Formats: sequence, C-alpha cells, structure tokens
Amino acid sequence: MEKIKNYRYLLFILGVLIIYLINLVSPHINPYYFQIIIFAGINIILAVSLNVINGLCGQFSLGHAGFMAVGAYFSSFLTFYYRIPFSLALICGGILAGLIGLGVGIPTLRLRGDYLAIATLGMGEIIRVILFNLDIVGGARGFPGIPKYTNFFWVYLVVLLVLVSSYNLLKSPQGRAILSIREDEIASEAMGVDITRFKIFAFIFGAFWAGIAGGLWAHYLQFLHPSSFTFMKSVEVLVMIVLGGLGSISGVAISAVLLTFLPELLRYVKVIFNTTVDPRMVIYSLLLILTMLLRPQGLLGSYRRKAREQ
Amino acid sequence: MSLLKLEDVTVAFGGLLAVSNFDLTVDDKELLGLIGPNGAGKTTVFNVITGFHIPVKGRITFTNKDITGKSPSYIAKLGISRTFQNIRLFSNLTVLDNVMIAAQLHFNIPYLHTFLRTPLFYKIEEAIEKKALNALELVGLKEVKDEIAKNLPYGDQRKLEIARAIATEPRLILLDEPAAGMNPKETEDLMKMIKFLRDELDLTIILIEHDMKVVMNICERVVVLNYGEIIAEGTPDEIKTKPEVLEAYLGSAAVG
Repeated sequence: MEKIKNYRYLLFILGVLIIYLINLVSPHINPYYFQIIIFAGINIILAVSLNVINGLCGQFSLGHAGFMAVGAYFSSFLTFYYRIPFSLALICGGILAGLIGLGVGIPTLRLRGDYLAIATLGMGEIIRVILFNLDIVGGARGFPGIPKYTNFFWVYLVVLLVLVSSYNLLKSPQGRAILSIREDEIASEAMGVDITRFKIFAFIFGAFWAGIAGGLWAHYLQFLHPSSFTFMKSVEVLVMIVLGGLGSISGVAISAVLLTFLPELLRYVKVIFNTTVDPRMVIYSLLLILTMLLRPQGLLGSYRRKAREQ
Repeated sequence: MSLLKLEDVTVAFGGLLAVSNFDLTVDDKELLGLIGPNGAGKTTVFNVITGFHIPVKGRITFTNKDITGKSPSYIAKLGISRTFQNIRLFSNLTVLDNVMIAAQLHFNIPYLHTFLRTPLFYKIEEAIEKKALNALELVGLKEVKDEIAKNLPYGDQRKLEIARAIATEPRLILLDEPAAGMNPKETEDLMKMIKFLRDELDLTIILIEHDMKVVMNICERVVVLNYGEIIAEGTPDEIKTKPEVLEAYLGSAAVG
C-alpha cells in the first residue's frame, strides 16, 4: 500500500518533468503544429471538466462557454491592467468562474434534463451579452493586447492537474456519490447522499477548470471577443464528451485530441483531390454521425444517457 | 420502547387522500407487516417516513426526534433505510460500488484528502470497502461484487437492494415488496435473511408484502391498510379471520 502511494506521487512529478522538458524544445516545433497541440490541451481541459458535470453527475449543462469566457476575461483583465503573475491570474479566473457556477447552480440545479440544459444555455448567453457591453474589457470591439504567457508548460501542467483531480474525484466517496446521482437520484437520497450539495460541487468543479482553460486560451491568442463564446462553443465541447463516451475520463480526453486534430488533417483532402470546394466540414460531420451510429456509448464509454428522464 | 411513531399523518395528492389520519407506533426490534390491496397507500407510508413525501398534517418521530418534513438524506443519516418496490439500483455501477455508496454514509473525507490521496484517504476507503463487503456477504453476493448491477438476475438485484439498505447501518429498515418476482426457493432464503437481520443485527423492520406466506410466517404484527386508512391490526392469525380484511381483499360477497 505504502509503495503504491509513493509511486503515484513519483509518476506525477515525472509527468511535470516531461512537460517541462518538452516545453524547452517547443520553440523548435512548427508554429502551426504547435498551435494545434496547444488547442488540443485546452480542449482536453474543457472536455474533462464538462465530463464531470454531464458524464459523471448526469446534469445536462450547456453553459461551458460561459464559464470559459468568465475565466478568460477575468484573468486577462488582471494581467493586462494589474500585471498580476500569470498563475495567480489563472487561478483567480478559475475561482470567479467557479463562483458563478455556484451562483447559477443553486437555483438551476433543481431543474432536470432538458430544462437544466436550457437554463445553463441562457446563463452562457447572459455572460456573453454582459461582456459585449462591458467597456473596460473592450465590449464589442474586443480585448486586444493581452500578454502572451501561455506556453506548452502551462497548458499541459493544467491538463495533468485536471486529469489527476478528476480521476481522484471519480475513485472516491465523493465521486461515488456524484455517480449515484446520475444513476438514480431517489435511491441516492435514500442512501443519505445530499444530492444538492454534490450537484453544486460538480458544477463548481467543472466551472473552475473551464475558467482556467479560458485563461490559457486568452493568453495564447492575446485577443478576446465575446463572439468566441457562443452557444456553439459549448456544443463543441459537448460533442467531444459524447464522442469520447460520457463518464469515461480517458475516452473524453482522447476524443478532445482527435476532434482538435481531425479538422486540421481534413484540410489535406482538398489538396489531395484538388477540389474547388472544401469538403472538410462535410467529412467531419459524416465521421461524427458514423461514430455515433456504430458506437452510441462513445469511443470508450460504457454508460449511455437514458433517452428520457423518468 | 417505541422507535418510530406516526401521529395523525395525512398525505394528499391534490384532492386525493393517499393516507389519512394514520397512526402507527413501531417498537424497537419489531417485525411489522404492512399489507393491503393495490393502491391502499402502503408505499406512500414508506415515502412519508423516509421524507420523499411531506405530510399535509401530522407528526412523525423517530428515536424521539421530529422528522416530519425533513430531507430524505437527513432521515437516512438518522438511521432509517429502505428498499424500493420497483428496484432502484445504481444500474451502471458495480455491485460493490452500489453498496459502498451506502456504506460511506457515516464516513467523512474532506475533499483535500481525496484530491491529494493522503494516507487518511486510503484508511477510510478501506474501512468503507470492508463494511460494504460485510453487507454483501450477508446477502450472499460477495462473489459477484465486480459485476455491473444491471446484469444481475432479478432475485439478486432485490438482494443487492437489501445489502445496500443494511450498509447504511440503520436502526429501522423498510422493505417494499422484497419477495416480488422471487421463486419459492429465493423467497425461503429471503425469509431466513429477514429473520437474521432482526435477530442478529437487532434491526427493526417494516415489511410491505403481497406474498401472504412471507407475512404470515415472519411478521409479529400486521397492519392492514385500505384506501389510506388502517382497517385492521393484530397478529397474523387474528388478521386472517377478520371480516374487514377479507372484504378488502376479496370483496363483500366473500364475507357474507
């Protein structure tokens, strides 16, 4: 037992070390590939965190872009105006997103299924509209001049942290309580699980990491605009977790990587066949449809959402 | 000593009185049967005790604490556990996980220990697992602990529900038709198990059951409900001969 524990910590330190070493050689990577690698990392963070809300706790949330926007704008605001250290700004962005998750979660988590989806969708839109009208962060003009702090090390350090924390959460009493809510709320309550508390926790956990992902994204692109955080961004993340298999952390992470690389790989289709129109997105959609037909539970998933909540 | 007391409890769904002016006192370590025709309000009684329905009138006390209108999780923590008529397992989880969710009720691990995987975390997790395995052993499902719950045969699913209910370490356990869908052999085992729970684990048990063989064999006292009201009460032998009971079950022509 003692050995296993030490081994876990060692593995974590080794992971950080590898990320650090790759970071050292990252300036030599082709900038185009490098950008895709960064986006893949950010997408892993978004997908794994949404998976805790949707896949593990079974609460259908469509507000992930909203949480991401909060983290992106708030951390950029802090680094741009106050020159706060990047790590601290990221955490502040995450915490504010988590607080908004708490504020939204308390009234809306009484809703179930489709109703919760609509409420969270509305929340995402409200955040976007507020940002549109918030002059201090540029409003509709956008927010330029954000310092470029994001590098390979930061993104993949957070990836490591979100993977480890989700996994540790899943295999724990709290994780089992969260899973039991997905499986059967009534039985869960009868077994003494305080379902509201755990639903809100899952929501805050997801929102926090989404906020950090937003911060990383902002400090990579150096420019923010509210239109980046539409409902479609939430759907994009949702597609990743459904394809990867709701509830499966590894499946969701793999599908986040696949779905970041796939649209880029499909650019070659146009080159190879020398067509005038770009069939990239058509093939992309067809591949998604095919996967869902052949593996409705997702790539690595074993759990399938009930068609209708009873 | 009375463990559970319902005084003048009334549950209404709109204009329908599912349970009306219901009085019931359950003694410590009693094995009480609750019977009645379909729709008599038996499950509603369970739901109101466990906090899933809030009574419009009346008072429920458990170990001298007022639990009227309290949340189901609070009531579970006080020591009332239950099974469900239409099995409600955590279907996609393993048998062991199903029981561990119940077994962790009285343990508390701070989130920090969970995320950092401290020695304390492993210690508590082991204790929870041990408790869950004990409960599984009691119902005879230890061998299938790694199966996914929904893949178990029907009879085993019922047993798993009982294991889950025991694992919360209750003082009072409410069994809602535990023998439904079981074959005679399984029913026989179930009766032994229920007796064991009462005699060896000192649990108080309230049992809803349609299988009269089970009720008549193991219950010490039987309460008969019809249209949300108690129509008879007594030992199994007394109940069998009461005209009100026969009427409720078979119709008035049978009595005359």
